[in-house]
Amino acid sequence: MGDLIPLVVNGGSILVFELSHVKRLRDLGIVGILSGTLPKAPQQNVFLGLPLRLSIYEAAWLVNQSLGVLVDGLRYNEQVLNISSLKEETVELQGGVEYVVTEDTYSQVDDEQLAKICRDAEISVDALMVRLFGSVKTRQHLLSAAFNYFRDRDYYLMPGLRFGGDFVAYPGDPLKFHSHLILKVLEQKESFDLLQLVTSGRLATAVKKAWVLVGESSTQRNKQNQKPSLHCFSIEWAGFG
Amino acid sequence: MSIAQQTLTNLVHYNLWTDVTVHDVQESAESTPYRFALLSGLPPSKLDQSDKEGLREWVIARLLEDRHSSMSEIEQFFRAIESLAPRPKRVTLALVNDDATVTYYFVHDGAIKPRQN
Repeated sequence: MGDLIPLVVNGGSILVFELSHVKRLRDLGIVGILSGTLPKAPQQNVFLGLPLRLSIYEAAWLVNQSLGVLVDGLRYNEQVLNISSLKEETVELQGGVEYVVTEDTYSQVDDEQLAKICRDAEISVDALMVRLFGSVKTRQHLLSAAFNYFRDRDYYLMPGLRFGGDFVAYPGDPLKFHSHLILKVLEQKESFDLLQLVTSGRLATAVKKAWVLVGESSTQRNKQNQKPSLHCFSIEWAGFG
Repeated sequence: MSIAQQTLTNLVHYNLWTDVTVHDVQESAESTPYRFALLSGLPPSKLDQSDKEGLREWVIARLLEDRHSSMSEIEQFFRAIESLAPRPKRVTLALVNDDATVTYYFVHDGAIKPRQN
């Protein structure tokens, strides 16, 4: 349990505050999105820092693989604060802005204590899904299944909005590789517009990617473990006509 | 003119394909009627670097006008070919518009590495 990475749920966000955890996640192929700004520039939108924000799909994969644990932010932070003694000290930096300097909370909490806190504050993926989406929706489960399918095949996934899909899949770390696939996840019997096949397929080819439809395969549905078995088709412009 | 004929004409006279044939597809009784036609032919040159020389290409012709398609329809494309030959790695989807334009897209079975062009 001591090795589990605490994924702190604050409101609707899943956050990782510890740099060593962020490094471990990167090695595990979980990229997330850095979301921290400098205190003086809260509207900053480049060069963001800690905390790392994870998507529910990344978090669900980590929990499934027994690599991370979702914890309720309020309960978790209360208990961490109880253990670590905060010596708050106000210092004034240039420009007359006051900062409160605190010691690194994690350095005072040992692995055993952290594991206990995580056990106490743990929340399940399904509980979080209900909190985020109102009820557990099949679409979210399917997106989660699609995430797992590609992560288990060594793709790194990032949000797909940039290219108009649900996910963008990279053949390795996104800092080293361009992405290969734009994933579009379809529910069973969900239809798509052929004009979208043209626009998305042409866009994907223009940026040297393939547009990939991902859906549950109707034939080999495994009823026993409820896991949807997935199938995909990749679409590219044929290069003529 | 049927979409099969229109696609055949476009392949032969516009894209210079040879030996283009229209195939009859047997529809299974329980499925909805197919909204596509099946053709095959030989492109003037390899469509992909990794293709074997003289590879016979399967073409599915489909009207853009009936907008909706689905994963199960794409599965039908492959099933239709499977009734005549082994399941291919990809099919070429010919989208036929009402202004006589035909545009071609590859539909690969499974997730692939994109072509280097």
